[in-house]
Amino acid sequence: MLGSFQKSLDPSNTYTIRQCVGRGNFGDVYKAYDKAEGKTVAVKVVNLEQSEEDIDLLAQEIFFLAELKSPFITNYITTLTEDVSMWIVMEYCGGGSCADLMKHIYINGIPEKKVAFITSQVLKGLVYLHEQKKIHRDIKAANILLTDEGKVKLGDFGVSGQIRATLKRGTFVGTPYWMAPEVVCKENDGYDEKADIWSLGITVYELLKGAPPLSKCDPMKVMINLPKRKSPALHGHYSHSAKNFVSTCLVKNPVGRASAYEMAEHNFVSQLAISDLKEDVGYLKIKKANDSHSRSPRYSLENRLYDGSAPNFTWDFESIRSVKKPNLGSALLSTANLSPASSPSPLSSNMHSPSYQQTEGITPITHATTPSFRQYNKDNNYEVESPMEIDLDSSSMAEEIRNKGLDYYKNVIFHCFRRMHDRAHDNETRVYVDEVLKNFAFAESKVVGFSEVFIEEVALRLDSIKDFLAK
Amino acid sequence: MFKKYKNQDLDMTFWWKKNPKSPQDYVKFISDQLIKIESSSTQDSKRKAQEEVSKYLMYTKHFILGDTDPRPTAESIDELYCAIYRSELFYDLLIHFGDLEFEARKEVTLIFSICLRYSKDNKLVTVDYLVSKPKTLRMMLKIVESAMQRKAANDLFLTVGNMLMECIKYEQLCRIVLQDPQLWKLFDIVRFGNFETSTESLQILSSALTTHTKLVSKEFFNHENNMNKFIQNINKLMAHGSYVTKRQSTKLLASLIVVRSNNQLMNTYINSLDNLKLIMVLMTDKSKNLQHEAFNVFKVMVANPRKSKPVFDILVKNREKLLKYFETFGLDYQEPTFIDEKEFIVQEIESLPRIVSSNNVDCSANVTASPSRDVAAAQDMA
Repeated sequence: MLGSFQKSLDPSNTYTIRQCVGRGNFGDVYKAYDKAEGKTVAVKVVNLEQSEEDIDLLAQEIFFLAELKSPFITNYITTLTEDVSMWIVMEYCGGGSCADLMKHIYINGIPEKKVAFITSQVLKGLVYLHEQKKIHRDIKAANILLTDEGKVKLGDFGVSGQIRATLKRGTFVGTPYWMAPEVVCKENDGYDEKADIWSLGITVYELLKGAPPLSKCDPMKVMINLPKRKSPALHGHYSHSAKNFVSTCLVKNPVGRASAYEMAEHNFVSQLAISDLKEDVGYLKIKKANDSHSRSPRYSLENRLYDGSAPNFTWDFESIRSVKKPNLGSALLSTANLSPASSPSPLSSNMHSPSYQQTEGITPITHATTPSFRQYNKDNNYEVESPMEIDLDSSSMAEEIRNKGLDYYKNVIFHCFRRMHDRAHDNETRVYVDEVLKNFAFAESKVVGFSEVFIEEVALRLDSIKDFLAK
Repeated sequence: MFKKYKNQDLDMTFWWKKNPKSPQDYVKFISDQLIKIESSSTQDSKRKAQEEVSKYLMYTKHFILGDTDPRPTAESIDELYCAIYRSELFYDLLIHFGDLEFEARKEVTLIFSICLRYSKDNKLVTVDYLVSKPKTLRMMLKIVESAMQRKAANDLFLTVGNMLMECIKYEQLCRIVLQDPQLWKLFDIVRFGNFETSTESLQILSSALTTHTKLVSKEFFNHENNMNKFIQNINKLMAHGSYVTKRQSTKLLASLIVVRSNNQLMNTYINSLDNLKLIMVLMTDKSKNLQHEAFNVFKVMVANPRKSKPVFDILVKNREKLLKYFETFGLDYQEPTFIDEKEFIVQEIESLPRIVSSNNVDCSANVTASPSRDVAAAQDMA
C-alpha cells in the first residue's frame, strides 16, 4: 500500500524529462512535463553523492524556497528524490529569458520602454525577496525569465547561491561581469541584499546595450579589477532617467546604494508604457523553434549509482541455508527413464556448437552492470528482518567457497546465461535467454541465496543421474 | 466594555479607525476572527475572516518588533505578551493553522520565535508559559503528524516544524517534546513522507536528541523502553530509508553514540549482532558518503574493548575481508583524524585471531562439480 504510494511519487513516474536546458555547478536544469498536472515544469537535478554540500543545509535552503510565493519569481513546486539525486521542481517559464530576447531579436539592446517594464517587474521580485532577507546573488538578463503570457519572473535563485555563500566564504557567487564590488572583495566579511542592486544596474545596462560593460575583456580580469575601477556608466542615446537609474544602482559602497524599495520608486520604472512582452515572446518562440535548444547535462540521468548491480563487497554473515533436502530417491524414480543424454536439448538447434571461446571480455562481474540488467535489485535493501533464516554458527564448505569470493549468481548463473546468450543463433533465442536470466536476478534479489540453492539442486540431480547411469 | 455588534466586520473597522490600538485589542481581534473562521457558513465570510487574521497578525508583528510609528512603549509590549498568554493565542492559532493563509502562517512563526526570545527579569517568560501549558507544544506535534494525511500539507508541516525546532533549543521545551509519544510518529514520517516532510522530521528528531545531551541521556535514553524503541526505529531508517534518509539517519546514530553520556545507548547498540550486520552492509553500499557515515558507527564497534561474543565472532570471521575492504576504503578522505581512526581500526582488525581454513577449496575447479558433496563433507568434518 504505502509502497505503491511511494512508487507513484518517483520523479520519473510523475515527470517526463524533455530536454536539458541548462547546466550549473549544482546541477543540470531540465524542461519536464508534469503528467498529472498536464503542465511543463523546470527540474533542477542535484547529484547529492557528487555534491560536497551538507544535505541538511541544502534541505534548509529548499524549505526556504518553499516559503516564497510571489508572482514575480519562478515559484518552487516540490522536491523529489531519485537514485542519489534531488529533483527540485520549479515553475517553468516557456518564453525563455531576456538573454534569449537579445540573442534572437534585439542584438543591440532592448528598446528602453521594454527595459523599463522588465526592470520594474524584477524590482517587485527583489522587494519581495529582500523583505525576507533573501539575496538572489545572480541577477542578470539570463536569469530574468519570461512566461508564455509575456510576464516577467526572476529565476534561478536560492539553492546554489545561498549555500555556497554560507559554506565557503571567499568563493564567489554570481557571474563576473554582473558582480558587485563588495562580493569580489575578500576582506569584506560578507554582503547583503544591496549586492543584487549593483547586479541590477549592470543588468539594465546589459538589456539596453545588448551586453554588460567590459564584456569584451577577460571575465576574471574584470572581476579582479572591479574594486579598483570606477563604476561603469551608461552612455549613448538613452533617456536621462535610464542613465540615472543605472548610476544610482552602481554606487560602489553598498551602504550608500539604494534599496530595492527605493529603486522601485525611481522614475525610470514608475511610468510604464507596456504591461507585458507577449508579442516578443511569440516572436521569440518562432525564432527559437529553428535551433535546437538542447544541451548535454553534466551528470547523465542514465548514470545511476544504484544501478541494480550487486555491491562490490559482500560480508560473510551467513552459511548456506539449511535446505530441506527433497526425497531424491522417489523424485529420481519417477523421471529416471528420461535418459538425459539421448535427446538434444530443445535449445541446441538454435545454438552454436559448444566450441565456445572463452574470451577475456566475458567476466561476469563487469557484465553485471550492463544497462539491460539495470533494474534487478533496485529494492534489494538490507532487511533487518531477513526473509531467509541465516544459520550463523554452522560453517560449511559452501561458505568456504564464498569466502573465496564466489557469488553463485554472478559466477555461475550469470556466466552460464552469458554463454548461452553468445551461443544463441538468433535474437529471439537471446531474448528468451535474457528473460530467464532476468527472472533469476529478480529472484536472487528477493531471496538471497536463490541461485546457490538452485545450483545445488542441479548438481545433486546431475550426480544422481550419473550414479543412476553408472549402475 | 463593548457591546456586541451584529455586523462585526463593519463595526470593527469603524472601531479600529476611531480608537487608539491597544495590544490587547490586537490579540482579542485575532481570537475573534479565528472563531469566525470556524463558525462562518459561507466561503466568502470565511475568506474575509482569514484576510483579517493575516492583516492583524502583520500589525502584531510590527508592534512586537517596535516597527510602528510612534514606537510602542516597553509597557505596551509587555501588555501584548501578557495578552497573548492570557488568551492562549498560539494554541488558538495552531488549532486553526490549516485555515490560515500562507503568509499568515509565516507571520505566526515569526511572532512565535520573537516571543520565545522574550525575557523579563532574567526569565524567559514565553518558555515558562509554554512549560505551564504543554498543550501548545502537543498541538504542534499533532499538526506535524496530521500533515501526513492532508494532501499538499507541506507548507503546514514546514512552518510548524520550524516552530518546533525553535522550541527544542530550550531545554524545558525539549523535555516536553521528548516526553510526547507523538515523537515516535516522526520516525514514520521520515520513512513514508515526501522529501520535505521526511527531511524536516529527521531534522526535528536530530535536534531533539542532540541539542541537550544531558537531558537526553538522563531522561530519555535512561528508559530502556525508549532506547530500544529508538534503536529499532533508527535501524529501520538506515535499512529501508531513501538514499537521503539512510545517510542522515546513520549520521544521527553515529553522532549519538559518541556522546559520552549516552554510553548506555552506545553499549547496547554496538554489542548487538544485528546492528553490526546492518552497519557492515551499509559500509558496502554504493554511496561513498553512506559508507563513511557507517564507518563512524563501525569504528566504535571495533574499538570496543569488551565486544560481545556474536559481534566478535563475525568480526573474526570477516577479518580478511575487512582488511581487504580497508585497503580501498576512504582513500579520497584526507582529514587527519579520519586517517588516524582508520589506521587504528585496521590495527584492531589485524589483531583479531586468524581462522585457519580446514580445507583449501579451489574455487574454479570444484564449484561446478558438486558443492553439495563438499558441503556434506565439511559438515561431516565438523
